[in-house]
Amino acid sequence: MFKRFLYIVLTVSFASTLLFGCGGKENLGSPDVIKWVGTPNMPVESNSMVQKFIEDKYNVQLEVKSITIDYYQKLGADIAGGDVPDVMFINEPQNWQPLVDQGLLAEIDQDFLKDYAPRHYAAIEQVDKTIWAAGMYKDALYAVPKIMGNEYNTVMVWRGDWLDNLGIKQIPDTIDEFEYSFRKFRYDDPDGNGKKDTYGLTGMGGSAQRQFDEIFGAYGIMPGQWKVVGDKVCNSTTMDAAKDVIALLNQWYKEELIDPEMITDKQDNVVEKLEQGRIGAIHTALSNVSMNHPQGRSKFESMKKTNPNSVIEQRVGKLPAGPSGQRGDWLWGPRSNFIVFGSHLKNDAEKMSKILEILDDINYDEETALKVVFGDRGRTYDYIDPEIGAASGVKYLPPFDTDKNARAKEGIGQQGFFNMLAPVSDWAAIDVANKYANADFKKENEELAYWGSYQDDLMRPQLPSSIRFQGDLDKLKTTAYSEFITGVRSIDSWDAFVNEYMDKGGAILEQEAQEYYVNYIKDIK
Amino acid sequence: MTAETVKNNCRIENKKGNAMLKNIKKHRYLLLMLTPGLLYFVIFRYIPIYGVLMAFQDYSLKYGVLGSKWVGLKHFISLFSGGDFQLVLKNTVLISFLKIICGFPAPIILALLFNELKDGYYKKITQTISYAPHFFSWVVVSGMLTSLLSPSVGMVNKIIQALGGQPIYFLADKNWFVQIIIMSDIWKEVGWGSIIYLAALAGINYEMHEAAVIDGASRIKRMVYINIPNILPTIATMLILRMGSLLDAGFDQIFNLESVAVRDVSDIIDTYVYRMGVGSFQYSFASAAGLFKSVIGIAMVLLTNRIARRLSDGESSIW
Amino acid sequence: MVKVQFGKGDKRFMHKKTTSDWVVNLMSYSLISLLCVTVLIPLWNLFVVSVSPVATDAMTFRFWPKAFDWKAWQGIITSEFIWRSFYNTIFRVVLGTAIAIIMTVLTAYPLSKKMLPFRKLFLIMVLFTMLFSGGLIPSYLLVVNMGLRNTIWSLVLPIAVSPFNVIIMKNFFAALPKSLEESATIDGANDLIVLFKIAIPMSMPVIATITLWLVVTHYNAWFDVVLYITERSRYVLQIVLREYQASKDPATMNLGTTEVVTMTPESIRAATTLFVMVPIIMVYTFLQKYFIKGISLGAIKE
Repeated sequence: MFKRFLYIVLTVSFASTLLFGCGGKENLGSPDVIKWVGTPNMPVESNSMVQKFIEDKYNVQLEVKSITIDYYQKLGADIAGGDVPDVMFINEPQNWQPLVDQGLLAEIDQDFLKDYAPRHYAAIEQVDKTIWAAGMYKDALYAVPKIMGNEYNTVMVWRGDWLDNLGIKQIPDTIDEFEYSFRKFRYDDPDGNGKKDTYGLTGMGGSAQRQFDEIFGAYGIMPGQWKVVGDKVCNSTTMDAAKDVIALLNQWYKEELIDPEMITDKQDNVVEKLEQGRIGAIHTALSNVSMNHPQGRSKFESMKKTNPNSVIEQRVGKLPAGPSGQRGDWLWGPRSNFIVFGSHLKNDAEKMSKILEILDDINYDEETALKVVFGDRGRTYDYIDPEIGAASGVKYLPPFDTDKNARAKEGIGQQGFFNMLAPVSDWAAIDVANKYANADFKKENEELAYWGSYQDDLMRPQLPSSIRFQGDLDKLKTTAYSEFITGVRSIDSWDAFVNEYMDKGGAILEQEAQEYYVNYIKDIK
Repeated sequence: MTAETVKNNCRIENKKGNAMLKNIKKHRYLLLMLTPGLLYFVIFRYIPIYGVLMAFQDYSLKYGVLGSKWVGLKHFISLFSGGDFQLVLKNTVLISFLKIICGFPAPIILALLFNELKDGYYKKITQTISYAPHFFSWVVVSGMLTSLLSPSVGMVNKIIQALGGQPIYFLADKNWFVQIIIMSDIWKEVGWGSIIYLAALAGINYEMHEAAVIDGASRIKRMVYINIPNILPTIATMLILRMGSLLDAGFDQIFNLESVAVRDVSDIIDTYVYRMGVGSFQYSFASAAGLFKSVIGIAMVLLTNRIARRLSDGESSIW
Repeated sequence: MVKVQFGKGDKRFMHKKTTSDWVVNLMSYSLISLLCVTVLIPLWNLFVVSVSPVATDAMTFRFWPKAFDWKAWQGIITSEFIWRSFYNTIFRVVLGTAIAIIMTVLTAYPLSKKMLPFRKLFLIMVLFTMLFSGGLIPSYLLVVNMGLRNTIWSLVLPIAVSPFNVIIMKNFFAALPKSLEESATIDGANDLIVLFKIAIPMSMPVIATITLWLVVTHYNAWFDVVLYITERSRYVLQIVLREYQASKDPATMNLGTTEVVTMTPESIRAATTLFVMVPIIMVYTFLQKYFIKGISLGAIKE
């Protein structure tokens, strides 16, 4: 019986493989239509106002596909069916490199890019030439890198009322001052409730990037990042400098300055911890606490609205300065995500040029940017304060401010479908967006944040063995670091940790990183 | 071989063939009924099955299954030889087994208890409430659990401290983590899981109970000697099918609840595969992992089915 | 005509209460109440979170919100898009469940008969597919090549028969008392009549259960919609709600994939969770009458 069954199954499979097993006949559409797969999660309807605007202005025809959920699964399925887009968004090299291997992406000539998207080209050259390396694979450029915006600046936020209660007049600035304040937070009952239930600081135990990164930054090292020293690429995770900081953190933990819940704390709940009075200082994005943020995302702001009598006061300060005056935290770096082109475009230079031109305009040309992102003034958007005008910032008019579908019909959106080159949290190139930014927020940003933050010297490369090892190495790092800090593991076994890290793939990756550096980055300057 | 024997043999063969045709004709309506379902399986389940071949290739979206390069067991080897595979496999089996041993009986017991309630609003309402958690996502539940079990503000620890004990950091404690996983899984699924057993209990002829009452049997005795045996076939079927997903220890739940401190016990196959960066376009590796799980799954189903068949004379098994 | 009556009332309680009774009652009522309390508290807490001003109360259990902020609910209820997708969902659920339950019954019944020709072959066929599948791509290609893209059929056909459901139902059919069917056959009824007039009426509890499972499956399904439905006007509720959940923080999705940052405000997540549950509860309440126990075979002895 079973044998007969097996035969039937094999026959049917064989037959269907013949029928369906080929890659779908490539459904390329007509050469005049641009198949556009825009920013993920941004819904847009066919023939929206913006689409028509683009079609008219550039004399093209667009076929838009908006994928709002499960972007990569859907994209993969579409491509399997033969439906290869002309231009699409891909977030990380680990997602577009396989596409190159599978023969699905078109190579991009850097000079071609310079001709048709000159402003983006210039922006990359100006911000950091190393960004180009991120889009390189197998010695060619396959992905156009985007540039990160400046919103992810982080600051320290303190319980102002605690500082007052304890007589600390100035916002702590150096590591020593931090330590002093933490001690007082822990032992001197800053909230006056008679209980020893307050801590200084917490960490994000599970995060491979943000586990006390502000403290590491004060000592000139950022674990998890590649650092180029001279001509050699080193992994900061295993450097001795990291060990010293961990020893300090262990010291703090022993003194009970650090919240033991650092193991499970995550980014979303640290603000609550500050508000609830469990810890006295947190390290978070400026946008979370700024009262001036254009989109008003401050949690403290909404909190104050519901409870105006609260004694809680937030005070925003800089990241701690270490003994040599260094400060900083983990920065993802100026390179953000990518735009890629379907492989058939290598034979269609005109199409690629058109797409580049459109993208460049949408991001760098003020008028186009406003139109594509915000729509029409008076109908879909207006200045926040019409009397002040542009400098007060812009906002959507109802119903476009809350109704995503109304925006989808128009095709507009801040992290919109069409403005694919826009930095992560701005709606257009920085100098364009800044014209419409809230001046106070800009000021805050300049004063407090962006303080020499640490970025990966190799721009977070995807190395050939990254897929195999990176996940496990991250796991090893976070586990070991946590154990060292909490004292579960003695800092004396640091060397054993380093050896383990190297054995588990760290050595191979270091070698590949060195090759990557020599290949793509060393000669860029 | 004489002509006679040959003729006889042929006649026997014919008889056999005739018998089969006769059987088909006798049950033609049954076979007719089966046709739409069979068509469905062939079209929607068996035609796409060639996809398992992806596990043995470096699958390329562009070239499809026919055109992609064959790599044999390469992906299986990288699956098994990854640093932590042994640990991960052990955790998966352990957690899954514990979930079955502790979690499988829970909905059965709940169904038996529900069955004992008097019909009325209380019964209806409690039943409906009991399966609300099935509809919560693990993201939501893990948020609740984290705050409930928090060593500082969580209610559980507040009670412990009130009773004079020391607070326990449950979600960071290797000794507690698996227990929390099991218990929260039970809580989430016990209500919904009891429905099928309630259906089975509904089919019990209550004359049996009447007769037992007349004979003086107590409620407990009746539960044990009438209710349970009568739903045993259902229990067996559910158990056999459950064994098929032995290597599914609950990715959503563990992904949301795990923390750095408990990785040694919480890492399962699915979190491991997830960590290997499998997300987009790496179909072959994911296919290999899935195939591995399927093979183990079918082995477990066959094994459990055989046991069930032996124990119940073919009553409670799948065939 | 053979008529089947459901048992009315519960005769088991009409006798003197013994100790055993008290024990069982105590156990049942107390354990069930305990379970319900452990469910109600978080349920209520979810509601509280859903009306709390964003991000203030996510961490602690609260019994009463600090203030009532209905914005999360407003966002859901006032969206015309959501109601349109709700209608689509109902359409899909009704059609999908109807087709599926019919096909499941038609498949399970013959398989429950030991004398079915080729029975073992068919059973293996069904079981095999429960554990082995070709994966996303081949299924996708099949549906698309059948021309079913953007139609309701792409949602309803591929999951029309679940092997799990078939096996459960087949075993229930097999466990039915043979006497009724045998006497009907002797009276001249063929397999079809036996199925419809005897087997199905006697199997209402399991049919109701599987119907419920099917309803929930279709109601919760969203990935197939993502794959096959391109018109936003044909979206179902789950998609729209997921979009709604993800809408509050467009920035995070572009971060490197090594750090998953979920900044969805808790209140939106809570509101969508609760919103989704209501129709299912209504369906179950409707189906509950089929779970009444105690089929009275006595009434059938005619």
